[in-house]
Amino acid sequence: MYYGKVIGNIVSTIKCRGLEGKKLLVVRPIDMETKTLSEKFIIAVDTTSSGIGDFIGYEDGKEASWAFDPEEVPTDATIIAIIDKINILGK
Amino acid sequence: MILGKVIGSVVCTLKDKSLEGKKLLLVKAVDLDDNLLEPFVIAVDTIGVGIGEKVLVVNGSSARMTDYTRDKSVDSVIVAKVDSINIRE
Repeated sequence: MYYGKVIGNIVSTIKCRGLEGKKLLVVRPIDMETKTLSEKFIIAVDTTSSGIGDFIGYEDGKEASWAFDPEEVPTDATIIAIIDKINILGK
Repeated sequence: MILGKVIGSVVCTLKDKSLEGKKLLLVKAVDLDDNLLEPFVIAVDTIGVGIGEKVLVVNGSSARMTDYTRDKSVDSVIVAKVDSINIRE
């Protein structure tokens, strides 16, 4: 799972059947050590009804579509957790 | 998923049987200010988009999770046409 922050959302009316009714959010990955937002961003399907500004955990790759099993959803990034707090030993 | 812009199409007459009848589009990644970035992919179009349109592309084995690309040799598929993007950083 990767750590990130939701910075926006995408509106799309024409899309694959598997994505219908799913929220598409714009996520910036966060470096766990320095807690800095990355320059890069990805688009992820939301399963936790998180909103803009939330800190989240997301999965990428094939596992991202397993979050919807047995439903077939074509996604390679899925938000599966809202992260409240991170404790790092010695920090 | 990556945010991309369709910049062209790819025509192949000689190709894997599972790709027959599939539209292959050239998609370049874009940033949030609509600037074209370096990476590009050749993605199968499943929803009927045209050149110049902004799309979402799924890569990897999840690309086969649509009726159109199940069990086909496809690792990059266009899954959505972007109408608008709202960003609040």
